[in-house]
Amino acid sequence: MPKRIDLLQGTLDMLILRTLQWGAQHGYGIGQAIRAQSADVLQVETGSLYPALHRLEKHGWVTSEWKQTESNQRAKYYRLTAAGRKQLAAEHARWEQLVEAIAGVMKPARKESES
Amino acid sequence: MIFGRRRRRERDLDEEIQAHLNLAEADGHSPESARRDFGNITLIQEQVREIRGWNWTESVLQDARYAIRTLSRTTGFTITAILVLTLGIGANTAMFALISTMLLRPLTAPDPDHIVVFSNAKADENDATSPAAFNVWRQRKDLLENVAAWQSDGVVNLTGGETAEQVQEMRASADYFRLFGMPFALGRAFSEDEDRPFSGPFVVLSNTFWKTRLGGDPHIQGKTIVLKGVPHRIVGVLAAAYRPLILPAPDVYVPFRIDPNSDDRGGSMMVAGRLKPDVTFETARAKLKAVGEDFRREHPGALDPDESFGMKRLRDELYGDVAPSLILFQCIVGLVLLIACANIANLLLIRGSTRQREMSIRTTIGAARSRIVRQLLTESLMLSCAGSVAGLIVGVAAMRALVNSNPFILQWLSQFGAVAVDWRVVAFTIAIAAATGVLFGILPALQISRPGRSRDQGRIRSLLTIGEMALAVALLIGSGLLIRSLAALHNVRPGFDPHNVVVLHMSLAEPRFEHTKSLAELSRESARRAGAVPGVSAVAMTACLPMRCTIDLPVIIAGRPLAGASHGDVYWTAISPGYFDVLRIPLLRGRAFAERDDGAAARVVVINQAMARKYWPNGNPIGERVTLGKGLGPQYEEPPREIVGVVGDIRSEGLDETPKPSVYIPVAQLSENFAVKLVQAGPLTWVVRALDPKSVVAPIENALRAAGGGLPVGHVHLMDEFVAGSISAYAFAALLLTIFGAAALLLAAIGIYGVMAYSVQLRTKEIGIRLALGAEAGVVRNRIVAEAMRLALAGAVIGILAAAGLSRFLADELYGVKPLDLASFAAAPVLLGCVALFAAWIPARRASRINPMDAIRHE
Repeated sequence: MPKRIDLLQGTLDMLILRTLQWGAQHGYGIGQAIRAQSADVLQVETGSLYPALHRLEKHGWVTSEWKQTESNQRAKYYRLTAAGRKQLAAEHARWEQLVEAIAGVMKPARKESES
Repeated sequence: MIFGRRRRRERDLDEEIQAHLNLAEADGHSPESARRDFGNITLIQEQVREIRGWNWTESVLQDARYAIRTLSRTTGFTITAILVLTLGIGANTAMFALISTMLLRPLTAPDPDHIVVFSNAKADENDATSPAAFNVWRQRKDLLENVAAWQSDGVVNLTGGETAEQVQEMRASADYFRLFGMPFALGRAFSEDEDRPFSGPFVVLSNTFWKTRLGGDPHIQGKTIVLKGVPHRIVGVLAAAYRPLILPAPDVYVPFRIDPNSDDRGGSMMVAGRLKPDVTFETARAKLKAVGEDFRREHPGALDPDESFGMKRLRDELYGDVAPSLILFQCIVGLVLLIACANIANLLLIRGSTRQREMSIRTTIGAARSRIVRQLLTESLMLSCAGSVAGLIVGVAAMRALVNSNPFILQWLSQFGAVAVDWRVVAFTIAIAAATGVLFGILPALQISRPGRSRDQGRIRSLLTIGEMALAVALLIGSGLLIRSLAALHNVRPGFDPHNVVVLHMSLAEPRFEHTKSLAELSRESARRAGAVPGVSAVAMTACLPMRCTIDLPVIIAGRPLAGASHGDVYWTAISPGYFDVLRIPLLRGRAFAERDDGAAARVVVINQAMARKYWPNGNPIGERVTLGKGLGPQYEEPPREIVGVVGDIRSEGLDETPKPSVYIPVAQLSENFAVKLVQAGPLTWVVRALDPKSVVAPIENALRAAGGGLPVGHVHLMDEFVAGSISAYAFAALLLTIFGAAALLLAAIGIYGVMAYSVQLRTKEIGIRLALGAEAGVVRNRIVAEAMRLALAGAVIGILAAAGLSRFLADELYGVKPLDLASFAAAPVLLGCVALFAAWIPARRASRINPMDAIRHE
């Protein structure tokens, strides 16, 4: 079993928004999707997921509605809004910036240790 | 609305969670593992609520509901806390209601902040002034408008009806009504013409007088009533809504008719005016001071060296004397509230330690510390709100009762009717509820929400108890000082014997009494008739009664070099023979007056010991000659008089005032001019000594009425009342501080009891083991008492030091007692020590009676 990594503060929102880019999904589905996409590395706690979903809805980045699932169960589906799309783009850009910056810091260190 | 939406949202979240579990099951998880994987449902609900605009009203309401639930579970604590707060907040609200009424409420005059009152800028003296000064003010149209003069005539006689009666009269110049914005129900104020000297007699009626005495006749304008034996034409009736600002509240107003050219420099009238819109108070005061210096140059001797033309704001004139005391008392009563806060903080800490389990559970299921603190503070605020509501009701009712019990304070309030609950008082109570709730709640809340620090809590509780003790000791020292002052005043001998003396008043303001001869005749006739009443031992008449009035006149000693206009001022009164017998003022030298000292005889005067000491420290004043009233104007001047006797000093201004040089002259030897002034200035006073004063009032009244040819007799009092009245401000201060001190003592007792009882409860097991191992019950008990007394001692020391630093602020309220009075400083800690001992004794005895076996099984 791969080692699980705790999500960085704020990245959960981005992941949720990203997951919803492919279409409306319910909470359980979102959790499963993130887990599958990360090859079981990222495990989203329900304790973080639901507060996050409600937070995103309050900001107006997602909307929700009750629908039937394929297996004919009632579930609350979340859908990305236009504002949510913009937010995702912004967070994605910031994320890439951050990754680059961290990589920039980490690279010379590795070189030194190699030499 | 809010609740409907919230409930829907709650249901929605529940369903969403259920859906999640269902989906997980459908995915192949067992219901148990799905539920387990899901985690803490309650926490998620909390967090989602928090995110979801769970707006603050909802959460406050939830906190409040929870607070009520927890508080109602511990009724003993809740009731104690609310009672303590009712006491603390009630005392503050009550004091503030008095302040709000007297110092903050707008006065019943238009734009009262621009009304200024003439003040002679002399310390410890009233602001009475003269027609000459009034004319000077009246001429300064560049600074002032609506300059008005007024003077109470006391009671005058209303005749023409079936029986003659006394009515309260005020002389007021034409602008008086405009200056104070007095509304009229009928007619108008006096015109300028009606206010000129020698104009016909006119009168303005108060609404009450018009309604009760004249049946509210709507066509009363132009009709006449007979006042002082002269028909007065009615020009107006004041509106019912008007509450008089200036006391005593008049029934009738008559024009002052001051001669615009008058040079009269004696008088006891008040003058006020309105600052012109573009003139500041400071400018006007500076300019009028300069005017006063001109006046001094033009009229040598009219102003004493330390006297000048000063100016006061109206509110300062009316309430300036009491304001510092009121504010001081508000500060003192604030200490009571601090004690109450320390007390409740202590109780909350104790209560908190029994809530450790609740706090642990709440923390474990994920409650943030801030959330717990908020919850605990909500509980505190619920307590302080309950205490404030009760305090407001109880406090204001108590203050009304206190004020009503004290005529002196009541008289200050008559303008407003009663101690009021206005918006200021309500705002103050709300503010104090919030402040105290946070003040006593924050420390316990922070402590309790951080479990496992019981040692800290013990230290904090001890410190709070010490603080309470210190404040209580300081307060008790303050009340001790005031009580000792009052006792000192009760021991002061006024120099006369006020017991068994009836005081009656007759107004002689009628043309037939404006002669010395008729005055003398009336005084003789009344003494004869009233003296014949069984049980009466002496009767006399006076122009000025001790404790009620003073008249001062300049004196010149014959044959002495004169540096200024006179040799100083002396108190003056005219009396009939027998006066010294009625008041039992001892004759020290020479003789008292007799019937033979009449208008035809040589002019004589009796002086008091203070005057003899001041002017003849080594010699004998008998036979010396003095001139009285010279320099005040022609009405006051008379030839010199010979001193025939010296009597003992009396305290004419009040028990707290030392005797001043005084002279007495026989009524029968008044100058004609002075006699006119005297009968016009107010009623004359009769004093009658009788074994059982109350039983002879009716026959004396009849005798005096007969002597005066049917003149009404009124304002009947006992001399004792006037003496007590002169110290009623001290009595009120002592009463207030005694109540505050008792409250502090009670709170301190509750505080030390609570702490010791809790400490015993915590140590039940330890004490049980000690007892089981053979410790003596007495030793156990004494240890606990000693622990309590250590706290009390520490508090007492701090309290004494604080009181030593603060008691000088009380100096103005004290009489005959130094701010560092040893007795008060010693008694307060002893009293508190006894109370602390008693409060600690109960839990200590309980500890010594613990059954070892029960104790060891305890928890």
